[in-house]
Amino acid sequence: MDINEVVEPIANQAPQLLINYLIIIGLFLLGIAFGYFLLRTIYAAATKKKYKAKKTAREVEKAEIYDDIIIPSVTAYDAEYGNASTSEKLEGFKKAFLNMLTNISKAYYPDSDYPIFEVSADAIIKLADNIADRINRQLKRFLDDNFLVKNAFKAGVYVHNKSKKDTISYDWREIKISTIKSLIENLTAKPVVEEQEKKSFFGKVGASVKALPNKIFASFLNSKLRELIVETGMEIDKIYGGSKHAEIADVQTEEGK
Amino acid sequence: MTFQEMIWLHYLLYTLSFIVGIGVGLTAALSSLARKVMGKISARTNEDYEKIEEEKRLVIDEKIEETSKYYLKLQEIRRKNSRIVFRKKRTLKLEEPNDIKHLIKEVAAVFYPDSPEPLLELSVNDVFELVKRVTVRLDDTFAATNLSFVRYLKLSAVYMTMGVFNKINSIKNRGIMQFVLRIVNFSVLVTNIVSPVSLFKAGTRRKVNKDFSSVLIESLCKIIGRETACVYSKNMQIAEPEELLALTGKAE
Repeated sequence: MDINEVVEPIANQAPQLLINYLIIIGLFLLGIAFGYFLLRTIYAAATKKKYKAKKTAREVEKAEIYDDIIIPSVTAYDAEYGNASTSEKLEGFKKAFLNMLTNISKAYYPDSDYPIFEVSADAIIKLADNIADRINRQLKRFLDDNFLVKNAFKAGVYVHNKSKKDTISYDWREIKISTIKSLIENLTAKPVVEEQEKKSFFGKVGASVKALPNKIFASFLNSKLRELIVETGMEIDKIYGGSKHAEIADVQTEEGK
Repeated sequence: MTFQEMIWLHYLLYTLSFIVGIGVGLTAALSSLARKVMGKISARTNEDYEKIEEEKRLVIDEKIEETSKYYLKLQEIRRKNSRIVFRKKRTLKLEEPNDIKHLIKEVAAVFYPDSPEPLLELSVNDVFELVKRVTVRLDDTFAATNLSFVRYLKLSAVYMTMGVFNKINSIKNRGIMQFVLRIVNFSVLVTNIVSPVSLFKAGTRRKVNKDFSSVLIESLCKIIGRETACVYSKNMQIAEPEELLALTGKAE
């Protein structure tokens, strides 16, 4: 018996709708397979191609960035936040950072609608890493290499540990951020001047001594933040200007020291 | 309707079916690639994570699962909202969002249960180590994709793409567009009821889309949660000298 004799009558009787459905499902599954292999092929081809970053930044003189953007940012910070409180100083640093980021990126990419975003994620990560490294070096230079500060810091820790239950480490690297936060809050929150006026001569002297760490801290923070603004500006310049300015920026930082 | 017109209608249906199939296939391929890439990224995280005490790991895994469920629920609501016909759009009502920020805080609290601010229980040195770790892990992420252009992709391109998506969404949210979309959704609903083939196609598409978003959400929550656990357990020995050297060389 021929197979066609069985199949043909069934096929003839089957509704046209069912055949259509089968074709539609068949094409749908075929589409899935096609789409799947298409993307896998594109991915395989893309992984083989080595991409190199094209330099699209405008050529800018290093002095232009330093004199027209970094130095004015420091001057503006001095004028606005020179005598401000600690939290305001940190706010000032943030403002200076954003100002430099906007202006330096604009200097390199004047025609872009989003000059800040004209770098890769990789470069931004590198910028964050470099800034963290600069802060680390600043702290190390100030707290480890300076004999006077190193010992004053240890004395301060000794006094703190003697009076408080929660002791802190003599190594500044081991101190927790929560401890630093509470120390800063203690230093900055006390209304020193008002209390001082009400006290006697010895009370005034005592209050001045107590206010000393606050003053030292404020002056330390001010000078360090100024240096940090310059260094941050140079790091931003390195990232947006490419590697050309990297060596120049490093030389300038060394000179600054 | 003449026979010729019927033929064209069939061809149109066939072509549409094939195009929808390609879309589903692309999503399926993306899902499988995402699984592969996420597996590569999380390999080192898992290695470090295994060093943490088992008791703590169990608690952390539970918290990661809760966060994943929260995002999957959000995604489900978003998906349902895109298919609405008659009812109003739904929103997820929770007293406290179980988001990534919450997860990070909760994981830190596992290691410092008595601290009022567990996130600040890192030392100065830990913070610098953390920055290095983030750099190395993001570098791993770029390497895991095997696509060299991802590393150099300008953020402006990403920002512009996001801007286009936001614009499309804002157009979609306009009253008239919502009305048109409801009509489209209604016709799709009717087609799905009348034709079992459409129902099958819609079901497959939904399944593949759901699979893709669950791969992304679960993997990302797992990586972020476990990385946070590694950081707060002081298990950050990732920056080996050769690794950092290679990284610095590459960046320069």
